Amino acid sequence: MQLDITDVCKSFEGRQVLHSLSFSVTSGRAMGFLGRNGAGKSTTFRCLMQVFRQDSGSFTVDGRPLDPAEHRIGYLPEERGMYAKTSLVDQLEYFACLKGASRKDARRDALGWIRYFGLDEYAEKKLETLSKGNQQKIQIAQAFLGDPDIIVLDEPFSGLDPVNAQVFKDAIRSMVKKGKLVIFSSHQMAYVEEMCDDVTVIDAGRIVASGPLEKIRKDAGRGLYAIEPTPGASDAIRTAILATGREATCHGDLLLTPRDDAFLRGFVAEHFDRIASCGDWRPSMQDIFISLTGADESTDNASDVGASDATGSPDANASDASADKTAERTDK
Amino acid sequence: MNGLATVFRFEYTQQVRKKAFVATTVLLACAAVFAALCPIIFASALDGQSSDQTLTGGVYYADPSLAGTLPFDQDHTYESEDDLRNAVEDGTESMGFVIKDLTHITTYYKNYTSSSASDSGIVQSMLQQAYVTSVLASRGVSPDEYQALLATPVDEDRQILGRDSTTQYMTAIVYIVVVYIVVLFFGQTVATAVAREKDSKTMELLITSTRPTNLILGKVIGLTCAALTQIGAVVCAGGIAYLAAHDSYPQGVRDFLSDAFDGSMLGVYLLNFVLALALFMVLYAALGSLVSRVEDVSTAVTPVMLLVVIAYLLAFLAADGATNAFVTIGSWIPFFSVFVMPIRFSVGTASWVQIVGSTVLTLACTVALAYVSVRIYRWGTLRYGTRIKLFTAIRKAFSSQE
Repeated sequence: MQLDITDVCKSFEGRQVLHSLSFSVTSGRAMGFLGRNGAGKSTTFRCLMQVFRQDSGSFTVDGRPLDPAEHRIGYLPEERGMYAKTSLVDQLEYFACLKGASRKDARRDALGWIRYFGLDEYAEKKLETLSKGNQQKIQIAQAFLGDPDIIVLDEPFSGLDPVNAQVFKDAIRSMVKKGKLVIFSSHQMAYVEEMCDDVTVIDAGRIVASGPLEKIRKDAGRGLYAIEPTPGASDAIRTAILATGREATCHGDLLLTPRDDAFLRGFVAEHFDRIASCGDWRPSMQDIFISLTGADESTDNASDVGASDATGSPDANASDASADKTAERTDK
Repeated sequence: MNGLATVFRFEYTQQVRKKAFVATTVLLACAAVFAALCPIIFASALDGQSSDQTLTGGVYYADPSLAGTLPFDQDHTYESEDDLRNAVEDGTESMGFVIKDLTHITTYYKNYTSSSASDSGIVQSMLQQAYVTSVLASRGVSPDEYQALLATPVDEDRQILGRDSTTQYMTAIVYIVVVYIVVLFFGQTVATAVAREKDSKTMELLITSTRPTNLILGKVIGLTCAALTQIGAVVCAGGIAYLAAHDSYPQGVRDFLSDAFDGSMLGVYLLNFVLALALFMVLYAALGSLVSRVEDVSTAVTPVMLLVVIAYLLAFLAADGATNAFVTIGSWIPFFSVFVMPIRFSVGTASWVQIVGSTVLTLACTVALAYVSVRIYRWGTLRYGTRIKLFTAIRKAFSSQE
């Protein structure tokens, strides 16, 4: 199954917020849909879910117009809530019935997901009696009701603690394995790198990158090679590279230099005891994201994603990017 | 259809399971049982009263030959005018009557109130009766003959060509009060339910799971049925108590009730009751979707409450048999007609043709309003922030591409 989003435009009161968005999502591969606050992610999802009608463009599944009545869709909106004074099982049963399940199947499905998230003992309790984290599990569970073919999750990890996030990641992975078409937005780049096969980055309503995650990272690496010196050896290694007439750019704990296999083989062998690791440079999604969506406001963005003070471009100086996040390396 | 049935079932079961709903239904059912037993309770109280009726206050007969003329207790009969006056002054008696003869009395009041004026009137009336009886007796007419003359019946062959509004008045008032309370209460409930879904961010999930028409109509029909369930439970409780106690009712009450309960009228009331609920609830639902917070609901629904109050007042005018322009025109305007037209029909100022005409008009208006409400609801779904004005919402809901 393939979902094609083609030339989707949307404006509100004369202000265009989506500019001819086009990308595709295929089943069995998780798509991360990334963008800054206000970039148009939720609007895209809402157009997809027909909450809003797009001004132009189309959403098609295997070449046919997307029809929520025909294609089973699980949707987790960014602003989500449920009935506080209704029991967990009753409201999940209700949402499953709304998606077309029979009452019997809906109840079984509801109880199944309640059990999956470890909330059996609260099944008959009102939602308001649960902790915030457990309430979020129920909100997430409703997106998986009715065995959906397409799963659309808007900021699904928002507010989840690491343990609950892991439970949720496992659920998403199992859906992807089952061949479901999964697309989700997130500001947490670590989750995107961990979960996604494909990524689409949107900035101010325009797509700035889209494709397989590995390809995007490789392209962003611009043929640079990353060398991680052992502690205290950074200056010596950098000086040694510069002495050969090549560029050597610091990026956190890494030194980036243009790839030249013949040179690197000799250089690594010569400085083997002062090199911890090396390999093709693969910028982290966080670096790529910041680079694509607003290097000038990197501090704000960094605080959004709760990570480093990286300045954006892979070849710019970075002050505090951790090695495990900024590069994918091969052991020596 | 399946989505509508699902929303209906959910809304209905959620409403009737609420503790407040169950408690209110039980209380109202108890009140209905009590009301059904009232004729027996008051009849027995009146029987007790008539057997030993005495007058309030104290008395002093200046003419000893008149002693015992009036039904005062012996304890309240005084030996002198001064004793009586002192008793009134110190509060032992609320008032005192000095009977000089059958046509002259002096009355002492501690405080002169409407109640004491009424009691004084009873004493004067009794004395007048005693005076007439004594005068007639002196002219050879015995008291029994006089009473028989006063009790001479006039046979009336009553031919009511229209409706007997005197017997329908009570049911008309009950209808007005019930429909007024139910529309306000359940209207507020539906508006709050919609606003709460928006406030708690449930709405986006709902409108991506089923059509807005299902959500609005399911909610309105569900809550209308909940209201009918409540009314039905109360009527059943009252009906069972009535059937159980019917044989003990005074004959006059039985006659009155058999005249008051007219099957065709009850049908007209029920039809208009359901129409009133549906009409106002779709409007309340639309208004509920225009606010982002539950606490803003009361402000948003104020204009509708005003409509309901005007309809309520017009219905009372109609119940008194008024046929002025306000009542006549009001009975054709859908928001008022559900209150006014059945009342006009019950008191005989409207015909079957008019009741059918207004029903069709109201039905058409309800369908149109439901359509508008669905558009407003759909448009207002993701509008957060300050309350949106109704007319702005209507304009935008029909002009926007969103």
